[in-house]
Amino acid sequence: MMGFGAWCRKRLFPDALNGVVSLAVLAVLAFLLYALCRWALFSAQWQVITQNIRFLMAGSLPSPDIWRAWTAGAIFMFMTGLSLGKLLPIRRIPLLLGGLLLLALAIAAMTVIGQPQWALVLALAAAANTGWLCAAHPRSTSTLLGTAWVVTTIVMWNILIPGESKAVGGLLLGLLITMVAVIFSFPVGVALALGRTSRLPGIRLTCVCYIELIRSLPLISILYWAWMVVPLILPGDVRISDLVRGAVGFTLFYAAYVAEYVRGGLQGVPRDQVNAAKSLGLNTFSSMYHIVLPQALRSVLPALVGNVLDIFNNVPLLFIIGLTEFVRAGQVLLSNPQHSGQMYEVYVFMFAVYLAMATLLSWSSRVVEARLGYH
Amino acid sequence: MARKPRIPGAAGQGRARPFEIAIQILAVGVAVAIVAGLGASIYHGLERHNIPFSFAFLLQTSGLHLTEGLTLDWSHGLALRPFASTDSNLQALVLGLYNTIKVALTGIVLSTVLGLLVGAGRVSLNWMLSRICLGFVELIRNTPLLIQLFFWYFAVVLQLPPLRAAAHWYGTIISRQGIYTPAFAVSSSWPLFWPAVLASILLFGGALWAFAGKRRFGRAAPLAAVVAIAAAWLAVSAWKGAPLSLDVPVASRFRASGGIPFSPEFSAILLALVVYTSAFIAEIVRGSIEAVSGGQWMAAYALGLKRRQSMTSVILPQAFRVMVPPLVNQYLNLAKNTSLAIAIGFPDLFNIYGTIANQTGRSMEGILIVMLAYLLINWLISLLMNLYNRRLLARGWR
Repeated sequence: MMGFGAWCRKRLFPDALNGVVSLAVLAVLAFLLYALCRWALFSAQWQVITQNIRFLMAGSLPSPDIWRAWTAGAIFMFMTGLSLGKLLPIRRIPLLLGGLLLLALAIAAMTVIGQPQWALVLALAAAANTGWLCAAHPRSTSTLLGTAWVVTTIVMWNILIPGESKAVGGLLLGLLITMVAVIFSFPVGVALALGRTSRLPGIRLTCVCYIELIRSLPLISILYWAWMVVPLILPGDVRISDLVRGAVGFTLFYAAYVAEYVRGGLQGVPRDQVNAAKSLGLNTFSSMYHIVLPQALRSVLPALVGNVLDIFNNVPLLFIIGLTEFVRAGQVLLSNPQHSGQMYEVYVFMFAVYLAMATLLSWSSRVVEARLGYH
Repeated sequence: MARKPRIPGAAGQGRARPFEIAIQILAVGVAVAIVAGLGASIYHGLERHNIPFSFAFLLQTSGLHLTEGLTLDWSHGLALRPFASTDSNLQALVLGLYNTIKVALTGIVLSTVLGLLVGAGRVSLNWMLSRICLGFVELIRNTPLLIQLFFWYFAVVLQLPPLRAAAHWYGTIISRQGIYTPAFAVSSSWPLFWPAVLASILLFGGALWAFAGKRRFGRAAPLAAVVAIAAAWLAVSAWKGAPLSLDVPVASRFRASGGIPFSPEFSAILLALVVYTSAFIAEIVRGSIEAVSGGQWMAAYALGLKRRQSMTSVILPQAFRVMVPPLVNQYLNLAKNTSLAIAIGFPDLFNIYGTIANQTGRSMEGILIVMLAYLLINWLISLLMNLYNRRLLARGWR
């Protein structure tokens, strides 16, 4: 380990040119940071966010139904806590219990002083904390976690979308569509990948056609067509909500991408594994299901987590079929002349929210990768 | 030649059993049935709404007002010209395709340049530089392209000064009505300018091809060809006058003329796509440089090469080979992402398809056309890059 001075000399000032570059970058960075802080603390008017936070988070969900948003949020935070607890090796029960106690006290205090919305926000944190605590239980396995996410998705869908007229929007809609797309595109994608690596040319050709066609088209067109075609192929009196059509579009589109990731994993499994399975007397299905697929999926898990981030980042394209997702909600906010002066506040807020989400996801992807590396 | 080992599960191995044939027939049958069923129900659905399936709408007058881009005119020979509202729907779609290709090609070139620069910053030994490039890449890759596009359009391009207070920068006019850069204009004394350029390129390519691999002239032939072509150009210029003149845009109160105009929408979609894609390209550059084994660096250092020399003559040639396939993917993504232009009203192919579908109700017929166009763009980019890749491999950079 070299000292700070030596490190500076080597990595910042090895020669005159590098020294100038370092100093210039430092100066620009310092100025930008200073300007941003000054703006954010003194001249930005954050009321535009605080006053419209409900619209940004839950869209135009009517007031009496707002409990749906809070319930779904709490369930989501619980699951996030559970997953983080599985990923992170920190499982100090007393610490977590202490945190939960502290949060409970804070919730009580907020309720007493008449700030129910802060009490609810703290309740979300408490839900995450409880989830983390549950992850410490020895019976919470990865299989259980996966099943729990599937159940959560179905439950959240039913809570958030009671009827077409009072469906949710905003960030919660984005999360919901992401979860649906991730969960449903996975089995379809695995099936397509198996089909594409099959030795039966008929099946292979069908899967290749589907995957290559979908992958060469933009997502926005698939969404638009899924939205347009679905009512045409149904009998006249059956109506399907825009949300379902959007979710179908996302699932069909990302299934092709999942298929390509999984195919990469399948090709990475050594042939000897198949031979060994065959010599043990396993048939094609069993050797695939018990030997090849687990290894393939394990090796592409980081890529699949990256795919989740990709889906989440593309959910704003739902604007094309008229759904008010987070980014669209921000645009609607800005189209109000009353808020047109607070453009930068809204954009900075949206960028910050997306960055926070993405950082969490890409960090967990890295943790998954590192853990797989040890085994 | 050794016999290929038999690989279980690999394609085209082994004899098909009746059971397997049955499964294949079933799978293909189901796929065909799904497609046919989809087609039939769409057909009946359309019939129910009294919209018979036909492509006749393509030749109807569109009535659209499109100022951006050019369209094909085949009434008096083939020519590219601005769109008129009396033109047909098909011509409007051609204009959309033109705009999509324009954004995609410009975007590919610019994002490659920016991506290489940021990638070079990422692998720099200078800690400050590599960190700030990392920050750029993370910020761009982790936020949706759509919000970036909105940001560039509403918060940057439309916030530029109006034309009468526009910023002037070396002849470039930057305003919210558009950005105008100086351009080269062909002087009128050179009627055969473009044929001459084409001839020069052909001549150069021919010289390269004719002497490729010849040991005696292989190195000198390109140089000799360049010198000969340059001499020819100089000689004709001395006789006819300079072939190109600088066309500097001039701003009046409400509009500017001359130079190369970039509309606000085009500038925004281009900025968004270039910045977004360059972050991914930078990661590819970094990844492929790091993929070259560390032993190569040590070997280069052991030969006495400096870091820069080792990078340019040992590491980069190997990294290029790894770089091309993922780069193609990014180019394809960029081409597909041009469809987001609909969000800010830039008339690309998908946007014009949407408008025409709304006006005529012919969304299903349009699907086929748009699908075909995107497939064509994809195949074209893949084909070009595959050719380049083959050339790269053929050069012995392996």
